[in-house]
Amino acid sequence: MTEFQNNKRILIFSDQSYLLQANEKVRELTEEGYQCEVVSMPVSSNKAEQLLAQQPLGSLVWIYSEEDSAQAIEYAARNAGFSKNEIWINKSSEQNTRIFCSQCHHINEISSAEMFECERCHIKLDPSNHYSIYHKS
Amino acid sequence: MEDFYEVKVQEIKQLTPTIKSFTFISENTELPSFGAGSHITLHLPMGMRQYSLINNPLDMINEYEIAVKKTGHLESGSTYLHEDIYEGDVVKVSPPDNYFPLQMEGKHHVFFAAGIGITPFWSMMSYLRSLGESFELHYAVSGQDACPFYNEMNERYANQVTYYLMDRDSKTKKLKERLRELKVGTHVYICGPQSYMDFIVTYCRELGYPKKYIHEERFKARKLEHPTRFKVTIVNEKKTIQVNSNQSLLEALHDAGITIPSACRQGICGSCEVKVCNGEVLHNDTFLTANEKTDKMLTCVSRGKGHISIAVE
Amino acid sequence: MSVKAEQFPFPFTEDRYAYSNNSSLQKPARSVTMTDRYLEEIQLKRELLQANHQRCFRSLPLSLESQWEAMRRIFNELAENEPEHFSFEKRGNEYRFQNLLLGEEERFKYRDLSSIERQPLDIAGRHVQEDLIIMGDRHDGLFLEAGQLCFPSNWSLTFVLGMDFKSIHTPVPGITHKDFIGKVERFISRIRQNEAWERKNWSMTISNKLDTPLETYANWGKLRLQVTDENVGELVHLRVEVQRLLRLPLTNDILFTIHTYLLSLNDLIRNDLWLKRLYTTIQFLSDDIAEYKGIALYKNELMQFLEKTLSEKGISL
Repeated sequence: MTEFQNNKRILIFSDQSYLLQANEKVRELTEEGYQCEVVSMPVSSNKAEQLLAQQPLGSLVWIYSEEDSAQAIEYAARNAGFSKNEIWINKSSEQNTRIFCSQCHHINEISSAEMFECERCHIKLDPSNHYSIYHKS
Repeated sequence: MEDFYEVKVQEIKQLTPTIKSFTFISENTELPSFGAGSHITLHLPMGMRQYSLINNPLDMINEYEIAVKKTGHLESGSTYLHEDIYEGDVVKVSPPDNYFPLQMEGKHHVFFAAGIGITPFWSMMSYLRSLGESFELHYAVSGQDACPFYNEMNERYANQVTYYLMDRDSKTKKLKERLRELKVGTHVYICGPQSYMDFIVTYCRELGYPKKYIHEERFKARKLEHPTRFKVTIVNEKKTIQVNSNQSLLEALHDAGITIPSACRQGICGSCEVKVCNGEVLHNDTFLTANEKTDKMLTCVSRGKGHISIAVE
Repeated sequence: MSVKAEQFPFPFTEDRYAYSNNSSLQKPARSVTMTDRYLEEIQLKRELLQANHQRCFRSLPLSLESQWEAMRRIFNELAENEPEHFSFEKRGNEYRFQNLLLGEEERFKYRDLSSIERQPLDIAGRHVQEDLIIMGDRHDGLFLEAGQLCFPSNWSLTFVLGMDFKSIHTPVPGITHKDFIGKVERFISRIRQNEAWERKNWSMTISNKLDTPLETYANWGKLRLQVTDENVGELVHLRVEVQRLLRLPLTNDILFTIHTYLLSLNDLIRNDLWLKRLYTTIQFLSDDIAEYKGIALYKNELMQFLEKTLSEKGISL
């Protein structure tokens, strides 16, 4: 009897705009022996939670999406019991960097790592590379 | 917290023909609290013996409760407890330690127990019940008579417990069926005879379940009870020294004028690590991984056998 | 808020600065200590909590059990170690803690949220000088899951909430060398239940201000530019954090407490040995550590001051 190893199962959430990229990846992964299921987004949070909770122990979650909806899925996955290293998020190269303001906690989206002014409290910020997986900034 | 406590046997109950429970109390000291999955170490004439605590940590007032199965060996700790310990006796006990904690981030906890391996789960289940958390128990036991807490278990956990009273093959098949169905967020806990634990762990590995979700209760000696002397060559210092039975390698190095960093002296911080070049090492730490143990040792607690050689930085 | 020199936990045992896991086991295991600054510091804490609650208290839902356990543990310790100032009584599941110094009492039913008006850690922290942090010991590492933090040294509780242990420490220069921080994490994960370990961490700060969070850096960071040869002894303070790590047995999480002490250089140099050790430590400090500890901007003034004092006292190194 052949049994699928659960760490070879991947649940993939993908936006319409990434669908091509995601499907390409699925082809590669399938050849490598992974079992993939693609969920196209948007998806209701109920539906996402339900799908996530049904996954076998040890499976992985990949998310191809823009920051906000990716975060919602990631949050749901963490809640379902996935470890942080079992969740992977596609980071597109054009995306802005998210900078956490050390004074007012506002998250600024900027395109370069130069000094800039926080859009909420107007303090001058010199970004560091200290990264929070929780705030994604 | 003291190194040990003198506790009085307040109550002994015969749970099955071969299993007795013991309740220990202290009349003058507050006993340290513990977490579900903890064990205590009893100081018995034949040496140190570890037993899982079975009471609900949230209900503990000032008592420790264990359940012990008589193994039949004349010299065993369990025979001693069964035959030579009476209510009112005083026993020495080291404070609780926990090698088998519940992972409270888990969404669902699945316990696999065989025989007397039920003990840590008895405490865990009552704790999880108090917290309203989700769990289930799979219990392999030779028969209803051999099952401690049988009535209580059915009253309290009717929907959580599955018994495995059948023959070996059907048992294996049924266990595998359940193991295949585990969902994300589940943590698995196993306690029982070695072969039973190995079977479940191996099958979990075959299914590709990551190790970090699979927890085993394996008692390990915390301290060498009778350390012996050994020789050490420090390769890069071109020195050979002797470590006596009453000193640690760390102390012997220090006496020989070779100072290396150290901190905890209990084998948990990793500060006093050295490279092992040759020889057999008796590892007593809880810090190094199995892989690291192939060429490293912690000098504060681990010892060599015969003659070993090491390198220091 | 400087403490008396007798109560100051001088951190240097050697003359050089090096990363090491310099933790020592506490017997008996204590997570909190009282000093004679108790009333002033509690008052300051309460003011900060009142004015900036969001900044000073944060928690994730998973931390609640540990918060209860930490509160009970801390009240128990206070009553046991300072019975003239605190009492703690239990009747069934109902508890009563009395703080005689403040004339306050806290009543609660254990694990019953309806019996308290704030989260447990937020209550406990109001009675001790320490900042209190809960580190959850999870299957994939240690995570900061709750904290009451009033006196941070240039970090933000909001930023690190939910963060894993390694990520919290990335700003420390050289910390990833030989996986030092990984080893510290492994050490913490091996701490046995009911055991407490202590280590000291130090930095320098200008003025006797305890609350130097990242959020108000703009207000206090610039003081570093005001150090001159004349005012260095009065302005510059050695800041020592006595940090304790205690394994909470019930939840198996870690209660991390930080007691911050400040001592001005003028007070510090009265002790010849301290003076000598501080001098040699600062002398051999690498540039990135000096920067991290906030000393780089006035290191010259500081060194001149210490050298001058050493020669006035006729101390040779």
